Amino acid sequence: MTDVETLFRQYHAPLVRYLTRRLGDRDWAEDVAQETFVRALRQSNLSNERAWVFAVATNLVRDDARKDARRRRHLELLSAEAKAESGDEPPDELVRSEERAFARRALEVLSEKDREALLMKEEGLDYHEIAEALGLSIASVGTTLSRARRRLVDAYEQARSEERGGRRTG
Amino acid sequence: MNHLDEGTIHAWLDGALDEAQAAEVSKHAASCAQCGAAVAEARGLIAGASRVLTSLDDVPSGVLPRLAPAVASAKPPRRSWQAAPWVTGIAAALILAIGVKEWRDRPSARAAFLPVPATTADSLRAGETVRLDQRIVDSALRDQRPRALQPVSAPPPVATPAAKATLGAGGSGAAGSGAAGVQSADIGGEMASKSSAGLKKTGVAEAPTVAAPPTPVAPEAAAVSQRMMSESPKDAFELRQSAGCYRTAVSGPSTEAATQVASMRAQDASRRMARSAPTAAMAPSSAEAGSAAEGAGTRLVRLDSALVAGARRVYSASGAQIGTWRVDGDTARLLIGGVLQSVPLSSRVACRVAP
Repeated sequence: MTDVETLFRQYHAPLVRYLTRRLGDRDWAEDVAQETFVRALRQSNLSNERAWVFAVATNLVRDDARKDARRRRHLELLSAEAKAESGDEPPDELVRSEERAFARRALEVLSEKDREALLMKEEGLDYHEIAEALGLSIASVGTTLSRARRRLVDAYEQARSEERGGRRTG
Repeated sequence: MNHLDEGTIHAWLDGALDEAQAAEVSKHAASCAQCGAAVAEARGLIAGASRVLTSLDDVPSGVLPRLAPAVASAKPPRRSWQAAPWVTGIAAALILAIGVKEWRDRPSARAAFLPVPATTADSLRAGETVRLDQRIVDSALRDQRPRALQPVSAPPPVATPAAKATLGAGGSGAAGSGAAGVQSADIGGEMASKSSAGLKKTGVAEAPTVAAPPTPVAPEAAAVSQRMMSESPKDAFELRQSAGCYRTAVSGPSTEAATQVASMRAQDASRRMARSAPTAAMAPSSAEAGSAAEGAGTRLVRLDSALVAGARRVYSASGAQIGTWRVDGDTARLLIGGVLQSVPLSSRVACRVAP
């Protein structure tokens, strides 16, 4: 039997962060993380725990994302973020929520695999673990990450410049 | 050697190449201007991507866009893991096992609970508030120091005359059926009967359980015990559906003890909130702002869904943690400054969280 308590203590925080970044909703992220650890209870032996945990969570997200209600809720949140609210917001928070909206938009531009690989790398998974979790060859992880990083940064910059352009014309 | 491809450069910078490969890449990058520039660019992309992703972390919880009242009261969408009772049992066992360990490891966590007479907690109706027996509040404050769960001479946990008066006839029926003893007003005040067979595996049954009133049980121990037995994934899911902002009645002048409780919990929270949501201040949404000024007897509070140190927390508009809460049917029960309040879940208001 897997020592789920150890697993939980070790990976819960990075997993929730990974999922929150992926989903843009902390409650949803915590739901998925919890379900992941429930599944771990049923595993007798895990060769690479971290890769397993992230792979299961990633698959749950893919399943979950198909569900309409959740998806709608997610989109509502995104649109709320994108609106960046009106002028009664403190300037700092306005900037932060704008940046969050740009980042969210940029992340959505990436392909699913690129996005997941990048988010897993940010949580400290090594190339072997990313390859295992996503079913990639190790040799392709570097290419995947380089493409994901470039696209993310480009899309983020583009979102920002579009916003600035929109303000000037507006 | 040909020019380095971008994937190799990233793999090198990520430390994913073996020693021989890394040495080769390093040597080439030092001697080739084009590849040197590509390496510099890759460093920039790695840092830039990391920065972009970090800006996603500031995600609030429980403050999703307002649901229409009809939707808010509708049953949450059923999800696959909810359908299987055995999954719920395992999850409860897991949460319980971790909770017990956590609690045992951290003696101060025991301080986060205030006992509430069962009769008071259970018979409270929506909109009512009850000030707790001062002796119980005092007792909980005295018992802050870490210690084993030995019996203490806690005051008998009975409803105060004030509470009885507030509850009136409506409360008396439930008071009679209450098991007495002590019960947490905290989130964990849900009924112990919800615990499944899976709980027994963890050995928690050894912990003090709620017993007949004459048995001297440390009030917070019983409260914690009850809390742990109650939090099933279903409960947790319902809680998350109910989290958000509510307008509550401001109780009378807060007592010194109640203030102490709030500040103690705030300190406790700041020590142990490493993996939880940042304390957040909130502002009413524009729609809500108009009514914010009206009614000096109410205030905006935010019920956070994150489980921190075994409690779901209540935050004031200034972002301070002022109490804890749990859901009970269609109402949220809030314990703020030693005062128990009941707020209908249907009265949730829109608000914005500003870190």
